[in-house]
Amino acid sequence: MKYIDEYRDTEQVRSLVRAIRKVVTKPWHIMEICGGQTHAIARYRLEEMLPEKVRLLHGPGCPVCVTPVGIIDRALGLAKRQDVILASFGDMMRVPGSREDLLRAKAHGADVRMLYSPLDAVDLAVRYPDKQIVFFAIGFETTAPVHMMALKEAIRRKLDNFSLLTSLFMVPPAIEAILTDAGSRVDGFLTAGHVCAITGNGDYHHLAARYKTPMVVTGFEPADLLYGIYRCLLQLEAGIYKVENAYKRAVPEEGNPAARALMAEMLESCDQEWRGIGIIPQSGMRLKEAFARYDTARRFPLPADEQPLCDSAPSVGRERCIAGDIMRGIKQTKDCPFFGTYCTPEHPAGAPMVSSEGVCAAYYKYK
Amino acid sequence: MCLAIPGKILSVDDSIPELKMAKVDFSGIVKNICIQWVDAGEGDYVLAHAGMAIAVVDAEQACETLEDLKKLTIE
Repeated sequence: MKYIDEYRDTEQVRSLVRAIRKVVTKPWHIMEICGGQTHAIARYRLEEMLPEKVRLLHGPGCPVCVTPVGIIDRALGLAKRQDVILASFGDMMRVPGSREDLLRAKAHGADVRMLYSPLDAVDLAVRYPDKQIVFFAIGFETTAPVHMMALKEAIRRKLDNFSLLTSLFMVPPAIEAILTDAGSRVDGFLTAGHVCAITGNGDYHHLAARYKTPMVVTGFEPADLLYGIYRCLLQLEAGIYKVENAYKRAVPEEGNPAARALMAEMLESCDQEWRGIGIIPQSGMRLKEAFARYDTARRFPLPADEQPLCDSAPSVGRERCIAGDIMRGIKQTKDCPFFGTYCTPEHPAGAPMVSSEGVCAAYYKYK
Repeated sequence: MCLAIPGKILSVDDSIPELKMAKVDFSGIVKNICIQWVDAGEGDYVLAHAGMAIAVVDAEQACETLEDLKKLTIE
């Protein structure tokens, strides 16, 4: 496939590994933020190719993993209503709430649909005018504007039976939370290429300068990832810290202005809970007041007897699950006594095990 | 989740100005993708995420990166 095969070339990968070996003199910790990158790193076994001195840490950038239990329970509650069709991405189906997941609710008769795109949910709203279509809209800055596009289209088509149950996250506040954590060991970041394709690199310049930490915009194929690591190591070894773009074919400096304008028009920042980590101030996005009627949470207020749950690890117990430390780069999956025994992709206990893009699930599959 | 796959635009349907659509070929699998946010036409490669084209693949920059990688092989 054009623009993919070239970046999976074995010889290319080998020469990058050789180049990395040549530049490294000191031990470094580099964190990739995006779950898609974590998955590719595990799949292509890139960590094993790197010199001992270079360690990769795997950040919290899987929106499926970090969506709080409380909102999943909310989705489950809505899915069980006779007048609701609950739709979301396939990845969300097996993520456990406090008692069950969406796939199980579907098996018990709830109308739950797996969709490729939020735009498909608008078609559902047209086809089922008697039903309320709730799209469980999770994501980072890459996906948030796609949800907004779907909502814009629903408004354009004057559909009143469409709303979004949002669980939206932003990368820069998470990076800042990691950098200001006393236990943090991260020397450099690979920033998520497709998030930057939307947002551009603006916020990252500020972070690189303020925290004297290199930030390298990185793609998703093996050669892209190793190239990002290589550029990051060149900076670290030379004592430089700046934003560098190692994924120029997809990321222009200013990102995607149309998508950014849509987000600015419809969304505002808010404090956000991350499953396994807790609340990070101003790290989330929600619909502005003008679009409140399309916000599922405001349209269907929670019954008074249903308290929202807020817990990172329903089965193991919050105090013993190290998911938060793993996602902040303080501990690694191998340090977890529950990995592969009590906590598996079939019965996940911690956030990084709930989706294939979480580091624990990726390790479980490929190691 | 944030995966975006490169595909080639086969045809464009701009009958709805607010929702410009295209048929995009992902190595044999053809899907309808919204191209509202990108300036792209037939033959261009776009990166598609959840039904939206989020970027046009910049052929010149792609070549440049490959050249950089080649230089590493020689060094």
